[in-house]
Amino acid sequence: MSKLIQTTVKSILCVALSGLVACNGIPGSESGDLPPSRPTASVSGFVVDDAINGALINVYAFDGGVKGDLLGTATTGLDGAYSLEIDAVNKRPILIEARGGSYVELSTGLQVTLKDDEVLKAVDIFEPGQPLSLMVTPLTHLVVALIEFHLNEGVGVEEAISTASSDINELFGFDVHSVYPRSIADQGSENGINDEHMYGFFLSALSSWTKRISEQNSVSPHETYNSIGLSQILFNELASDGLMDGRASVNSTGRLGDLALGVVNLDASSYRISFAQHMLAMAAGNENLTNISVNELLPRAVEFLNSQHRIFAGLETQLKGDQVDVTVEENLGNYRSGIFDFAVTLGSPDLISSVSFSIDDVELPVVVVPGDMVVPIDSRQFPDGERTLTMVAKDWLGNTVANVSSTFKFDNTAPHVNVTSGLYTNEETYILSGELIDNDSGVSRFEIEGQAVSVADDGTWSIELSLNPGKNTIDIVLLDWAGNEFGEDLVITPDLSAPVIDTSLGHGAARFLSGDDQVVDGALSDNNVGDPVYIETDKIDLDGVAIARTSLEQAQIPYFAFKTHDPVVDGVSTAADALDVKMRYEKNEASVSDWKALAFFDGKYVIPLASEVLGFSWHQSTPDDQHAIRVQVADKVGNIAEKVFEFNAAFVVSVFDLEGINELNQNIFIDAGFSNRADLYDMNLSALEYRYTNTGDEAIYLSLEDSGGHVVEQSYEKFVREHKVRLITTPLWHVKAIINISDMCVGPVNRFEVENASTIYHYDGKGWVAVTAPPATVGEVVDVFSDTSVAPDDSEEIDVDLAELFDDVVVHSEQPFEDVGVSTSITSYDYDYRLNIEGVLQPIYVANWQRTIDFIDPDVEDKVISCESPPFFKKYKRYSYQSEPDYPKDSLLTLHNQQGIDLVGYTVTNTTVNTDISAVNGWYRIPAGHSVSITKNVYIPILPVHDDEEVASSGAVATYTPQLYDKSVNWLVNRSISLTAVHDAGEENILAMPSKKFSAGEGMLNYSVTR
Amino acid sequence: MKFKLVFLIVLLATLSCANVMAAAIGMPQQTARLGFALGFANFAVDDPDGDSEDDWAVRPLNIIYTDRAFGVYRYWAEAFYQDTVLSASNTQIGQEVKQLGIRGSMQREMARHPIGTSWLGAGFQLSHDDYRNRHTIDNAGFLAQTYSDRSGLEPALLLNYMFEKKLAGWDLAGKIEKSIALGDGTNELTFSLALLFSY
Repeated sequence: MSKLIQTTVKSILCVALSGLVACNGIPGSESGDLPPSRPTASVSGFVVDDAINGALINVYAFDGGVKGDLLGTATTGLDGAYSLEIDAVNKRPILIEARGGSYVELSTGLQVTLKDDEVLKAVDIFEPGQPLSLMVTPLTHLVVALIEFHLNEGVGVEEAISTASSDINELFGFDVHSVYPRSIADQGSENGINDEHMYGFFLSALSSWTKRISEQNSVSPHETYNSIGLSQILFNELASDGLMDGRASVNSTGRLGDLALGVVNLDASSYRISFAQHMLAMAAGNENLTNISVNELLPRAVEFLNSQHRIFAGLETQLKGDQVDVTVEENLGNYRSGIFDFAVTLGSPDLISSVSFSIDDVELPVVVVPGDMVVPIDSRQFPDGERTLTMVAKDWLGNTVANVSSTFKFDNTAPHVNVTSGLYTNEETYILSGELIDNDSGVSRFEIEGQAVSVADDGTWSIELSLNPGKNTIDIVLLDWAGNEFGEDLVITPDLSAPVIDTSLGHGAARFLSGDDQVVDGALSDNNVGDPVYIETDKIDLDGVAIARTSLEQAQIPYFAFKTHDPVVDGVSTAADALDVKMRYEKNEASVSDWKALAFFDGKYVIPLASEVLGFSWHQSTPDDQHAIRVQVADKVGNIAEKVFEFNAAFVVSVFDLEGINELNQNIFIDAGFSNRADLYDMNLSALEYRYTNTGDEAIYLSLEDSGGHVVEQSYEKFVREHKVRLITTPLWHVKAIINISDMCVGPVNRFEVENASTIYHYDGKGWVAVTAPPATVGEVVDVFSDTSVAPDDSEEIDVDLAELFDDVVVHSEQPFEDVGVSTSITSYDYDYRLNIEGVLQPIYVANWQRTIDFIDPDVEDKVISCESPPFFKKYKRYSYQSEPDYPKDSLLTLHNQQGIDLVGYTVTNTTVNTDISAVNGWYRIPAGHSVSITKNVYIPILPVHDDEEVASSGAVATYTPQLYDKSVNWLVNRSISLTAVHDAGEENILAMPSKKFSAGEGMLNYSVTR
Repeated sequence: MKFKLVFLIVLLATLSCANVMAAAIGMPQQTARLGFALGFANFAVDDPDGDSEDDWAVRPLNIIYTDRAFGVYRYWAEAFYQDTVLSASNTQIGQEVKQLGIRGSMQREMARHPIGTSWLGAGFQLSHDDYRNRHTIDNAGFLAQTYSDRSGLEPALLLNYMFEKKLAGWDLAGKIEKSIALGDGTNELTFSLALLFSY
């Protein structure tokens, strides 16, 4: 290269290097910048009925309005606060569920623990990077109910959320999702009312309202009816038809029915009235520690009361004037004179803001505290005559909620006897009593039935009378010293007959579980002991169903019904609606509940077989438990009638269906591939997941059974050299023939040996006959492992039993013997069995060989020569192989190996609370409203691994050692599962409960790897 | 920058001290050659804080100087610079790697064929490595964790095989080279194509 080229190359390299060093990167290289950080995904807020402590918060995806994957979980603190990070990076709707925990009902101070099927929900749109503050309250629960309604109507999820949120926010006047529900029990420091206070007052109204409902149903406050339970009813109310009109789907049947909480009917008016009334009642109560007064809250309450929001179905609020129970002392007699007490009791004093009394529209100047009130009346302040005493009670809204009047006759001018004892009695010996009033002059004569009556200093008196059947007219004579006379015929009537309990109108329809486990339709009778009443567990609660025959029949809830009346005897009886009717629930002859008053409705009494009436543990029973409802009816004088309704109950799980079956680990088989198939052996595999949600109202127990039939099939090729032969067995003789027979005894015996003779000749007296050895035999086909396998050696030789094989005829031969000096000499012998019949004689058997020599020289003594030579005649077998046609040859076979796959067991996980469920004697307990994942676990057995590559090589030569080559492995797991479900009546009663069986899953789960 | 300047001076000094071998007839035979190469390297960082991804990186420019040493041996020197980005995952540390360094090998002529000559060699590499923006990501691709930048001189051992064909006025060489880090440096398997010129 020339100097010029050298210089040029050097220059190029130097420039390139300089540029390279100067550059801070290479063209085309990727960006090394850091990726963006994950957007904030925090969700926080408060769970408030009052603050719910210890609630489990689950956040789910709500894409498409369907509850999806669990995105995060947390537990609330003492103040109901929760905070969590969720696994979400995209904008999407989310659903929050709060379960469990406990809160305090503000109106009573009682702590309420949430049941398994009670939940509060909230829904909102989550946007990544923006922390979401979301309250979970009964009001957000209403939003979710409205969303559910819109979704069922086919509205898209985002529109449903937007519409429902706007509706509820508009109704209550604030954003129920973002505003903090400030408890009214929080000490207030600021003045003026704001959205947080309003939120707190609305929630406190639920507590006050359910306290009132408990009173109206004669049950303990907040035990059966409480605000969390009311929230569940309101959810169903709004989700059913999008309206708060007192009608909702009955027990998930899809049919709309009237809603009621015991004897309290729900409708569009009662919602508005109750919210307004009770928030004001709470504002007036001691629970209100804010600085907000009733008067400040009143405009907001009135606004809600008169709300024309669309969810009230366009119905005007109908104010009700008889919302408060009023009890007035009635045994005051017909006449009044002087001062007497007028006693009135108001059932719900919390609701009352003011009470006024008047006589003939003239207001009395009295100040009373609502509740048990006693007002003194002085008749002398009024003219004699009939006077109407009126009590009017108004609530905090200013509405009249109670109005009761009583009429009296005032007489201030004559002595007066006021009988205070009743005019009716159930005893024949009766104490008549009362008080005497005179006009200062004093009593000169006071006789009853001719008997003088002594009067106490306070004017009271009493006298014992013996009554006759029928009406007894009692003559009273009263004179004052001024001559004024008081006379009255008092009629006292003994009432000795008890009321009648009449069940002729019939009880409700029911189904019964017969002895052969058949469900038979029928109706309840007074005594149903025997076949138990068949009750599905979604029908053991009223859940808002009104206690009326029609509603109960629609809801398929059995009930007892009866009428009662007090027979008129001698014109005396107690009116039907004045009878004291009560019931008590008993189980196995033991009382379970206290006596409870029954409500008189539509001329009869109805007792549904439901938890709200019998108590929430009544379904914790086996079919053998004896249930009894004892009813007592008492008239006003104390006569009592009693009736007992008896029945057995078989509680059976209701809705039962699996939600889906998932294959859990198919990716293990997909990812492993054929070459790694050994990694799939000897392992426990979670093969199938069955998902199930207990949508019933009660917990159940599940038992699981596998249908078996799981196998693994291995297919492989066998490449081997094969050689099939038959063993040829040829019988042969080994003989030694004598070849020097003429002088065999003179010298050594010479023999000619044949080792494999097959033919021998023997003499039968007529000639030489050929005898052959037995023919060769051909054996069965056997495998040998060489192309040139050698047959076994010859068998051991054994002597042939000649006497058995041949006759005993021999050939006799005599020959002269000539020799020098020998005269007439002869050689004789017998022989047989010769190898040939021509040529030199070669007998095998020679006997009686004898040579007599007569020497010519008389001095030489003649001699006789003889000897013995036993025959050598043995037999043996010779073996050889005969190849079968086409053998030896190479064989390629496809073989199969099958082994069973054993079930290891099941894993049952409660996915609602993310814990595994331990089986009790094979039964898994599933709480109401909870979802479970059931995993079928099997053991994958070990299979031999065949990888002899020669099998698949073209031109490979087979050997007698088999070469094996796997082709495929196929795992088959039966998808079927059998489930048995029983109602949870306690762990010890599982086996006593009627079961419902169910199976799911078809076909086989099939995984395979193929070479 | 200071290191880059030293690197340039060393390289130019190397270029100026080429050996010459005696020519067959009177003229000295020029055995020293300059060249440059384009390489593709399978690249992995022996990161002290975790695994890193294997990735293919382009080595766009390598400056070469080679000359016969003695007998069937020659030495082979390269200066190189590369800037590579390794992708991150939730288990592997992604980072930007910048390397400026030199490497030298002693090679033995193995066989001479009608189509060319093969060489087998071993050597040593020293580079200044910058590891920047070290991080991992989560499953959604967002930043999960960052690690502090690190840099330093990183030694490595070299094994290489070359096949070289002489053409008219220049030579074409292919090289397969394995570098093994002695510290927390980089491990590479490089396939290069080089053009060499006598001067």
